[in-house]
Order: sequence, then C-alpha cells, then structure tokens
Amino acid sequence: MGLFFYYFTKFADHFILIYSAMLFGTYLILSAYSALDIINYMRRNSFIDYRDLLTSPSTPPISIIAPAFNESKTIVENARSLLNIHYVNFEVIIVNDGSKDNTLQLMIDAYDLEAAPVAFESKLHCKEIRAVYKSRIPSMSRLTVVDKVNGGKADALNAGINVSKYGIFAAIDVDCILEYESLLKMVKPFMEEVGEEKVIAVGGVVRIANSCEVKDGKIVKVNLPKALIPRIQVLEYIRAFLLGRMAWSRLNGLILISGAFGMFDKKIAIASGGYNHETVGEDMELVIRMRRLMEESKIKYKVVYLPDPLCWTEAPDSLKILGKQRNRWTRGTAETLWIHKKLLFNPKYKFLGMVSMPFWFLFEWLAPIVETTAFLYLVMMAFLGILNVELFITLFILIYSFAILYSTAAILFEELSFHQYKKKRDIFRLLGTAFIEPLLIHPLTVYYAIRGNLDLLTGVKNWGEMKRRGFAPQVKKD
Amino acid sequence: MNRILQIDWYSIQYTVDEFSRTLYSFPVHIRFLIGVTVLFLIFIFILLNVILGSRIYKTKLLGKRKKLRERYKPLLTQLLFEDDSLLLDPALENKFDAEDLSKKYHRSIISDEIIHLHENFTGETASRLELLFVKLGLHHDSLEKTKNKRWYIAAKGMRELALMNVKESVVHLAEFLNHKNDILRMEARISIMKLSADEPLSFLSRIKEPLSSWDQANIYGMLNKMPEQMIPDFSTWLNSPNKSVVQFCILMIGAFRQQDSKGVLIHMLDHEDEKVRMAVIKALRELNAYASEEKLINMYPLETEDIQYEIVKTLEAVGKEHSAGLMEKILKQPVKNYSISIQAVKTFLATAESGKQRLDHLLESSNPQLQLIVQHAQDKRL
Amino acid sequence: MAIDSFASVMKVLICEDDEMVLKMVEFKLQKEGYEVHLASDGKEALEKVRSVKPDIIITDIMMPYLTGLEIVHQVRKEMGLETPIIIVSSIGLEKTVLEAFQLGADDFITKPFSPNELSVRVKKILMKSA
Repeated sequence: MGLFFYYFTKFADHFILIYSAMLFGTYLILSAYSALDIINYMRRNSFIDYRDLLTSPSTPPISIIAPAFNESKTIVENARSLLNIHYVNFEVIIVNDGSKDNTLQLMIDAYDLEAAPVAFESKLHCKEIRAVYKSRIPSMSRLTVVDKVNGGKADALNAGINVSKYGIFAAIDVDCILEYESLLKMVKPFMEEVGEEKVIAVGGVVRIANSCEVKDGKIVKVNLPKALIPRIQVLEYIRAFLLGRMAWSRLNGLILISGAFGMFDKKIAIASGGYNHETVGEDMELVIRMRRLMEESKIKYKVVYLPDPLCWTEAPDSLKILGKQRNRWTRGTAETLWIHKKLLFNPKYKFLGMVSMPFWFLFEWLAPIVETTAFLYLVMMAFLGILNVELFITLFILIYSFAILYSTAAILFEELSFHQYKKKRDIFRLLGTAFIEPLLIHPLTVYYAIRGNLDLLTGVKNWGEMKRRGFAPQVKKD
Repeated sequence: MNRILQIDWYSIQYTVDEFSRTLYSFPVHIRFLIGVTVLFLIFIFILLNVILGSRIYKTKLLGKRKKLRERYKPLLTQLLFEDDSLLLDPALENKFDAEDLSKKYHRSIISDEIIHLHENFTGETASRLELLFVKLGLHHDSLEKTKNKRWYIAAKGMRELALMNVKESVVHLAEFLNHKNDILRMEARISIMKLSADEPLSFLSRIKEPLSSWDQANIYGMLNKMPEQMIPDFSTWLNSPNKSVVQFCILMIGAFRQQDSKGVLIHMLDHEDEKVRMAVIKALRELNAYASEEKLINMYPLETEDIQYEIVKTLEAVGKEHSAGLMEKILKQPVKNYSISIQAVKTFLATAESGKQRLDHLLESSNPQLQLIVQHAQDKRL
Repeated sequence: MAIDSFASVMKVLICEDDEMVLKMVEFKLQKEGYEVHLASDGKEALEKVRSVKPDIIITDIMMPYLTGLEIVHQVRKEMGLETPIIIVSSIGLEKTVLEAFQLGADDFITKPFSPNELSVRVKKILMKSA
C-alpha cells in the first residue's frame, strides 16, 4: 500500500507538471499562429474598398436569421438595427420561438405586419410554424417574421433556414449589435473561394457591449465595462478570439463558431442535417457536423474566422447568470464531443480528428476537471502533511504568471490590431483585470464547468436564460 | 558619486549572492520552474512597455490626424468649387502651410481625403480632384509606395494611382504583372486596366489562375469607375480556356447590357460546364434575349434543379406562349422544388395569354399546396 | 455663378452619413443660393424634415438608424408630404432603384455622382413642383 501510494504521488506530481507544460505549450503556439494570422488579415484588408461589393453583380445575397424568445424589451429596436445593415441583397428573418411575452405583438404593431402566404419546403425538421408575417410597409420588404411553437434555439434556427430564400445564411443572436459593414466583411471569404476549396462557414469575433454607449441599437462609443464581472469577460473574449480561434482558422481546424454571429453555406448546412435539437451546444455541433460531412465526402473545404470586431453582445453581469451560461457551455461542449466521439483520434478525419477534436477534449473540456482533481489532490496531501510546499508554491506562482503573460499578450494584440478601447484609463484597468482574474473569477468558472458536467450526468437539461422552453417532453439520451 | 555607486554595487552583489544561495538550496526541478517564472515575468514586463508605448503613440497620432483633417476639409471644399484660378500653382501653394506639403504624414492625410472624396464624385469635381492630386505632388508618394518592399503598401499605392488616374504610372506598374504575390498581381492588373488607354482588359487573355468572385467584384468596381467608351466587348474572351474568365465575361455582358453578344451566348447554352451555363442563362435574362426561348425550353428537362430554376426565371423575361406551356406542365406535376414552382407561377403569369384565368382554372383541380404557391408567387413582397 | 433668385428662397435638406461628402454638397448648393440644412443620420433627417420643412430632400440610402428608403416612406405616408426627394446611393441595383421609385422618390442618382448634375436635377425638380 505504501509503495502504491508512493508511486501514485509520483505519478500525480508528474502528471500535473506535464499537463501544465502541454497546456502552456499549446497556448503559446496558438498565440503565435494567431498573431501571424491577424497580421496577415490586416494587411490583406488594408487597401481594399468594401463598397465595391455594393454594386457588384457577383455579390451573393444573404439571409439573416435571428431567433427570439421573450425579447419584448428590445425586439423592435433590434429588428430595425438588423434591417439597417449595409448590404445590397439581404433579408432579415426574425423567428419568434413561441415567446410567452408579447414579442410577436410588439413587432406586428411596430412594423404593421400581416400573415403572408409563404410557401416553403421543410428541408429541416422543426416545430410547427404558425404563421409567416410580412410588413405592409413597402420599405420594410426585407423583414420576415416567423411565428412558431417553442422548440429551443436550434429548432428556431432550423425554421428560419426553411423559410430563408438565399444561399448563404447568417445566424445571429437577436440581441447582438452588428457593425454596419459586418456582412460585407463576412461575405468576403465566401467570395474569395477559388477552385476546389469550398468555404463552408465564416465566424466573427464577438465583443462585449456592457457599458458601451448604445443609441437606437448602434454602438456609438466603446467603453470598457465598469463592473468587474463583464470586464473579466472582455479579457476572456479577447483571449479566446484573438489568441485562440484565429490560430485555428489559420490551421483550418476551427470547430466552434459562436452562436452569436456566424455565416454558413445553406446547402451544406442542410445536407448535414441543420441544427441539432439534442444539445445546448448547437453552434459548435453544427460546425463539426458540416466539417464531418465534407471530410466524409472528400471535398476540400475551409472554415474561416475574422478578427474584426463585428458583433457586440451583452455579457452576464451577475455571477448567477454567468454561472448558468458557463454551465451551459460546458454541457454543450461535452454533448458535442460525445455525439462526435467517433472522430476523436481518428486519422480518417485528418486534422479535425487528430488535432482539433483532441484539443477540445483535452484542453477545453478536461482542463477544469484536471484542475479540480489536482486541487483536491493537493488538499489531500496537505491534510496528510506530505504536501511538497516548495513545489506547490513555485508551481502556483508559475501558473499565475503564465496566466498574466497570456492575458497581457492578448491585450497587446488588441491594442496593436483593432484598438477598441481608446481611453488610456481603460487599458490600465484591463491590465489590472488580468492580474486579478486568475485568482478571483477563474476558480468560479472552473466550478461552473464542473457543475455543468455533473448536471449533464444527472440529466439536467436547460438553456440557462432560455429555460422556459417547450412543453414537449425532452428526449433523454442514454 | 563614485562612493554611492560602490555601495550600490555592494548591496546588489549581496542580494544576488543571497538569492543564488537560496536558489541553489532548492532541488533542480524547482529551480527550473523558478527560471521559467522569471522568464515569464520578463516577458510580461516587456509586453507592458510595448502596450503603453503603443498607447501613447496612437493617442498622439489620432489627435494629430483629427486636427489636420479638420483643417483640410474646408480647404478642399473651397478648392473644388471655387474659381479655377485657385488650382493654378502659386495660388494653390499659398493655400497650404509649408508644413502641409513638406511633411509626409501631412501629405498622406491630404491624399487620403482627396481619394476618399474622389470615390464619391464624378464629372468636373472628380477631374478637379485628380488635378489637385497631381498638382500637390501626391502621386509621387503613391509611386514611392508601389516601390515599398511590403506588398500591401505597394498595393495601396497602385490603387491610389489607378483611382486618381495618374496615367503615366502605367509603365511602372507593368512590372508587377509577374510579381510572386498573387494579390499584388491582381491589383496590378486592375490598376493597369483603369489607366491604360487601349485594350484595358488584355490581361484576361493571359491570366492562368482562376478569378474568384472577390476578384470579379474588384474588377467590376474599377470598370464602373471608367468612362463608358473604355468598356471592351466581353465576347472577346468567351473562348478562353480559363473557365472563370468565361464566367466573368458572361456576367459582364449582362451587367453592361452588351446586346451584340446575345447570339454567342445563346450558342453557349450548350456549354459543358454547369457554372458557365448558369451564368449564360442569367445574362440572357439581363439582355431580354427573346431568341433564347426555344433553346431554354428544350434544355429544361435535362438540367439540374439549380439551372432549371434559372431557366424558369429567365423565361419570365424572354418567354411567350410557348414558355407558358412549359410552366403549365411544371405546375401540373407534383411539387418537387418550391423555388421552381413559385417562379413557374410568376413566369406563367408573365407569358401566358389571359394567364390569370388559366391559372384559376388550373387551381380548381389542384391541392392546397399549389394554391399556397400561387398565392406566394403573387405576393410582391415575397 | 450669380446667386439664383429662384434658389434663394428654397430650403434643401441633405442627409448623408459621410461628413466629407455632406460638406461638399452643402458648399456646392449653398453657392447656388439654396438655404441648406444637414442631417448625418436617418433620425436627424426626419427631425429636420419636421422642423425645417424643406422644399426638397436629398438623401443617401445607407445611413445610421434609418435608411433613406424608410425616410421616403415616412415622409410620404406618415407625414403625408409631397416634398420632392432625390436618392443618392452607391447601391445601383435595379431592384433598389425600383423600390425607391415605388416608395415615392422623385429621382435616383448613383454614387459616384457629379455635384453639377445633382444641382441641375435639384433645380429642375423644384421648378416643376413650383
């Protein structure tokens, strides 16, 4: 027993060290790659004129699909702001996912809507569509409102895809604020497609709108959030988007396009079955399924990410909501990885199977679990009085300084590239946040992730803020 | 002075010694970890300095830029719409401060403003802006940019020269046609197209790589900025071995309504490439090519659904009674593709004699599905 | 050009979000003798239509908050005004042009445009409606 315990502690010490080293190494490589890609992106777009797209006959039309559930506070303004986007040929489809409040009525009143005889093919499964509305106002001809029985976000998006007219669709959260030129920028990768390589999806960076000055559904002035919780998320988002996803995009290994704003090739999205009702991580799940389809049918393809800040969203400002959100994200990741477990370490799926999926498995899903286990292990050792205090302290300081280094690098990228926070004070506060985040919020996010996994095991399924969904019984997955 | 330094040295020496003594008392792997940590801290320190430096620099630059733009705005307005005499050299130079024209940064702001305005205006105003650009010597800066090692700066310079119509630079730009960077190569082609007096699109005969939709939009954007008489006959390249060039030219024939090419296009309906056929069908619609009706009707049954949809749509513009017959046939069959059926109703109404009555008749014996499709087709908003 | 006596009593509202272009057109039309009012976004434009009661409106399509097409609709339907409206836009798509005319726009000019031509069209439309 003593010998076993000895080897066990040896193994645990080494495992912690090796895992951390791998994590650091991967993150550093990814940041370097991201830096290269951001520089490349900025150079490529430094001299071009997006306005040429407004006149060109080769610019593809786009359907914007925005599911709405109990959005009565902002829906009218948000719909208008979407209709105001700078683009030539597009439609805006708001899908009222059986809201319990007056979301639909507000839109009917504001935009003088009437039920229209819309004939469409139900290529994707979705709950019953009660009616499709169009405006009597001629200048609102681009607006379509779909009223359907509640079925969750994935279901609403599928309904929107069914009704949509055009070959490229943009899925967005209705409360997101899009920059005017966001569609012009997002469509560029689709238009740059040459030869055999198909562009199947394009993702955009999501930024946090808390404390920003917003006038009539448009960001007028960008401010760093005053409250700590959203400010920490600014840091998290900059890190995830500027240091993480850009690298994956360059490596063509991106498997997550945020549900807040992404553009997809409709034919391929439909061919792969549309959004999955069975997971709360429907955004990631769709990208993986589309990629899987392309791999299996042996078509060259690309998933692109743009570092431009094109989409702004309100982040949770209380721990309670943040907890629910992170809980959901964890469940989404876990469910998605489970659904596509066949791809994991499967050489048939090349980079997707050998690198992207394993990364998400090892460093996104497993990281909080390893962290918690390591913590519990250390507590146990301390309890037994055999904790290697020197090692513990040095390791702790090392990890802490790495976290700060990583955040600082992210802030530097932001400063050199898109430079959204213009006030001098903001940059100091952001740097300050980098110092407290690992100590204050990070343990909580780890806790939320663990809770998410536990909830998943015990069968809790809800969407956090969209929890009052459907009366239909949820299908249990065994 | 010397003494203070010595004392400092001593204490530093002491601290370092003390530190290394403590350090060496640790086992080797801990020493390694401490080393890595110190490395991280040094990196953090460097990054912090870069961030602050960049912040100070950018804030200063932004302020300066804003100030200068505020100053140049009224000046440019005046130069554009006031009397011609202002564009004469002596008067012109007096308008600007010596600093404005001697400092590169100042010039670059004037240049950006002029180019930005030029993008919005045509006619006399545009010509004046071009004149102003050259008179202020800003084209020298653009030319210099094209010589820059960094390709994206060279590309920007090219765009500026092309947009501002600096014709004499065309000779210089020609050397970029074989540049190893494909984006720069394309920019050179587009710039030369804008500037050259004869055969602006001759590059289409030589180009080997495929043109993406993005390239096509860029070329079209520049064509749009050229005088109408410079737009070439696009049928010249319809036999190009480069399929994307063929597609692009078909698109342009439609966009510029080159009616003379109708006959050639109708022949191309037999083309073996689906994308080319698709482009042809769309262009025939733009050209209202009535003569294509028979051929379109005949090819309909053999085509993919995507092309069938385009055929039905083009027939709305070019079809007559004969097309109405095909539409009737489509509508009588069970619905297999909603877009085609909806468009078929529209085309039927546009081509059939007393189409409305015949449609009502057709509906009497049909299912609710078709009724909805007919309603949909007649709702102008959908 | 001497100040036109016809123009001097006429109020023009220009709605355009590009400040530089806005200033240029203002300068040009002021020189012709019009009383020029400016709006840099759709909301401001509608407010100015109410407060200034312009004789003619020149508007871009893509502007913050409200598009030019919506301005046409609101002016015609909500306010019930017959004020002539000229659309100046970089979108030259046939569909958009037709939509503008259906909504009640009086003229459509695509960007890039000639300020001289714009001023001639403004004058012609004003003469006709006078």
